[in-house]
Amino acid sequence: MNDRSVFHNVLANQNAETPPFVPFVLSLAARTANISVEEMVQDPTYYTSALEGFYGLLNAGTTVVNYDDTLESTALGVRYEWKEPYGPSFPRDDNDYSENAPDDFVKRGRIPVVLETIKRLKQTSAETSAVTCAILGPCSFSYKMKSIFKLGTSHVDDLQNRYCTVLPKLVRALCEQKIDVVFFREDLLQKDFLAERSKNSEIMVALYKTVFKIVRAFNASPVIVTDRLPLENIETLAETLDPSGIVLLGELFREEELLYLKDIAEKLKIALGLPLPIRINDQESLDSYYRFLNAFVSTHKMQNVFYTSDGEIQHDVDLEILFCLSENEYE
Amino acid sequence: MGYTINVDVGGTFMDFFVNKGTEYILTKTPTTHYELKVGFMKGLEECAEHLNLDVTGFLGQTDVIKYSTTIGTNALIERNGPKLGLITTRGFEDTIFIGRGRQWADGLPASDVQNIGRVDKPEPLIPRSLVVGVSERVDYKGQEVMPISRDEVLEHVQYLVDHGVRGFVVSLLWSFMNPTHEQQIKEIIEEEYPEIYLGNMPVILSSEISPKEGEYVRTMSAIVNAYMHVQFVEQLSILTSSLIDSGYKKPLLLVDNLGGCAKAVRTIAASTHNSSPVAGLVGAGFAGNRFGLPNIVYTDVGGTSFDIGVIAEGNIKYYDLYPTIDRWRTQITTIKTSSIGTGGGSIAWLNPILGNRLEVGPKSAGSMPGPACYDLGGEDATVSDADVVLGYLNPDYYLGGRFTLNREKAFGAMRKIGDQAGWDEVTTATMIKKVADAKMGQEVFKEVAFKGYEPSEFVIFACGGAGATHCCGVANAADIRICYIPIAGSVFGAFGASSLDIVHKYEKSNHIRLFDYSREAYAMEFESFNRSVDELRSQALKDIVLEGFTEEDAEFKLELEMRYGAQWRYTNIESPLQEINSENDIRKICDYFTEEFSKMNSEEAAYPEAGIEVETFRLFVTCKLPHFFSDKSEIVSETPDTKALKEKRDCYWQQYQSFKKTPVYELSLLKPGNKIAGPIIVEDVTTTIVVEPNWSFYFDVYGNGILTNEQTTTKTGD
Repeated sequence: MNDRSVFHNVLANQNAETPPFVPFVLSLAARTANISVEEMVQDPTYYTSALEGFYGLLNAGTTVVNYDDTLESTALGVRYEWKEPYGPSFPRDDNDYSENAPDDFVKRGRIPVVLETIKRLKQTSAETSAVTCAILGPCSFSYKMKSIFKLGTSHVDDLQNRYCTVLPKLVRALCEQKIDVVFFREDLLQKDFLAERSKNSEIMVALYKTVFKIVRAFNASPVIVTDRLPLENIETLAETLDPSGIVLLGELFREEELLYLKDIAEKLKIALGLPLPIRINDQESLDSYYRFLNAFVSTHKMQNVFYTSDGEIQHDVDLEILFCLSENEYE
Repeated sequence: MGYTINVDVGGTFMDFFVNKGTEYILTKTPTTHYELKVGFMKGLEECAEHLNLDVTGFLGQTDVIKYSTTIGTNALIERNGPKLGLITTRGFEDTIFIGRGRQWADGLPASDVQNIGRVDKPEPLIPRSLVVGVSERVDYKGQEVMPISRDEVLEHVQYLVDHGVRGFVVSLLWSFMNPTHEQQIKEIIEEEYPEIYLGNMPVILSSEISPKEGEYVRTMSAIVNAYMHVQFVEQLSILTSSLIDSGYKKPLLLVDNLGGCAKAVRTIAASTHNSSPVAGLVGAGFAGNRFGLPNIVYTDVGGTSFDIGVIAEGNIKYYDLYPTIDRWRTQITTIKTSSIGTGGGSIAWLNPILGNRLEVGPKSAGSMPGPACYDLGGEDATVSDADVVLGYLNPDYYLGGRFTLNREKAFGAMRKIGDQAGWDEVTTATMIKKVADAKMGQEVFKEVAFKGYEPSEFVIFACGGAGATHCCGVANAADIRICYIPIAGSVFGAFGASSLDIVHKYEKSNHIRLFDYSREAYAMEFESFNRSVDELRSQALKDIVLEGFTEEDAEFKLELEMRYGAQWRYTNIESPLQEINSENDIRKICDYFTEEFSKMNSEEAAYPEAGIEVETFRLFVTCKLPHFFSDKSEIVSETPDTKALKEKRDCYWQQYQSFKKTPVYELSLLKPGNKIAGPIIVEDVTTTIVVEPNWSFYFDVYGNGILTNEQTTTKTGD
């Protein structure tokens, strides 16, 4: 079974040989390719080779394109600047809040770069590895825009409504590149995600249902990325939005929590992404945590589990840890 | 006996009909235009699930897969074929650009053709810069006049390769009489540019694709085929690999547009164009034969188009000798069907030129985003949305509940268009249904009446996912009183594929004057006639052996394209003899031609005194495959079981100008002999039958639904 089939099977609740590891990277890929993030995200050739190089180095069978929370806003005209080659980007001071959501949203900003990168990765992956993409979910998007423009509630609602009209188009454009999984990032809001979602509950549920339907129509899987989501809310989230998987960032699980996750995943027939924290001061406790997770998963035969990094892996991480993770931890 | 899997790709759904003996299952999956293999494999998974098998186990028990594909057509529509170069006879490089006088109109709907000021010739598939002429000549008898020069050919091929050509079409003058020069060019290309250097670069010869007279159409047939070829081969290779990986060990048979099928390796890409409606039409003929119905109008309302074919007096006798593929007139003979852009996904719009008149189609929402009610991002009002608003389609039971429809989005789409015209949602939906039904009905009427038959003597076979939903409206407009909803009607293209045999067609032009008007004598060219048939026959025998059959399994049929002297058009007849040895034999063929011609065009039109000529020989070879036969059941009762009545729901009926609580029945729970008066709805997993007021529904012993207009007066009498 190749890496792509393994990931597909995990998300379809079918037998997978081992839980796949899906690391989220942006600046680290640029660093390993020896180019700046700014250069990388603006050129599909750099972007493709950086991602191919990084995921190849790690021997990971799933590539995640665009673990970058600025993509969607670039299509609405927001401009960013990078102060360091591998550091975060900041919105420029001269950005104007635009009232219009352009009809050609998917042709604007850096979206064409991402689409082209996916296309090239799909051409070279030869159907054996999965190519996925992360985009902002509507709640995180409005949060992001709010933080850029310091907008009031009415503007944010308006923006969110307009994002709702363009999100299906963006998702369709990604899916037309034959992507395997779309990660909808709602991790920016952390615990406030559920509160934000319930504010416009009907619209959010309807929007997610539509975009998930589009994703599934292209034989891909929709996965929601959350951060510090209270575990008791997983069931509600899964039942209302019906994703194929939920990534639970920001958690370190105890055995009883894992038992709960196992039950809930089996009951809801949903895949869970368990984070492996890469950055930890105490290397020994990190190792023991990995061993604990692996032992639990192999003992309890959890077939609908995949591992992720705990958010974006920072560019200054010790690559030794990553190698160790990819080579040994989940064989 | 193993399973037979029949797959038919439509614009919106892929249909699957799987049978083993008299048992069958059917399913539909959305068409995955981005990669047909995905939908194909998904459909197989669903079928396997129905049979409680995994895909490997299912395919392991499968004897035959018949596939009616649109891969080649999609390559042409999306213009994503390879860069091609054309090698032709020097001095004739502009033939395809000059085209025929009316080339600009080929493939356009009538409304566009009328708009002469705005119509352009289509963008050529091969630009003028990639057409080269080589010095050579063969005369009309096939004699070589000027030999070919290897150096010159190489020079031209080098030029084409340097300009990025990824495939060659060779079409020389009179190559259908003597293909040697075309074959020499192919050999030169293959010798000098072997696959190791160029990869997959096909060399397509016009004499192989269409060995018939007519430079323009012969060349275009070869070009269109070459354009489809690369995508066709690539995608079929991927699919075949997936099937082999999943445990299928038998060959994949492709359905063609002549009502047969053949191994993928023995099928040319262009012959798969329009194969789906042809398969359905052949299936209708097969079913009609069993049910004793000689006159059938086969209709298929899919998501994107409305296809029509006619079976008259128990036969499919209408061929299209010059079918237009996309915008190109070709001469790859096909069974004649016609199509208009009206289906479940057809978009309604207001035509400002005609005072905001409501129009439906030809633009379709397709499978992505699909109608608004699919909730895949579509916002335009379509025929399916209207059906949801009017209460005909159950949002929770579409495809048996596997695909939930969004009623609010359907209403939203109606509002969007209704607000512009000042109509409410229900009025808009009623208008859309009326316009769509009338358009389809008029097309049916035209198809039958223009062939010289009386429409009221025909029955409609209402097929396709939306066929049964609209058949009463269509029949009313077409002046037809009976509609059949055949078993597997919603996937009838796939059902039709199950009734196909292995068929190959071979053609050759050879002009023979059978009756010479100046001497008033029958010709004595027995040898030329027999030689043409023998050539085609020996090719046919070679192919059927490669298909795994023997000569004893094969049935041959010879057709001749004939005409009276000085006539421009040919008439196609089935020859009463396949070999001639005497003047009497020739007389038999001539008499038969006159008889057939008189039937088609009246006795007064026949004019044998002008002489009789044969232009093209067409030989069909058929090898029989096992077919699906539905069981005949016993009549149970006229009254349906109470369990069959699922619910009563509000449906809008134009006859009452209001919503009315309407009984909804489950088709699978109805029994032979059940008869119910309309208005009713009959739901099945893959279709919804709408029986309008004044119509009745009868469930017959073969599992067909028969809808009859119970009104005593027909449309013309109204």
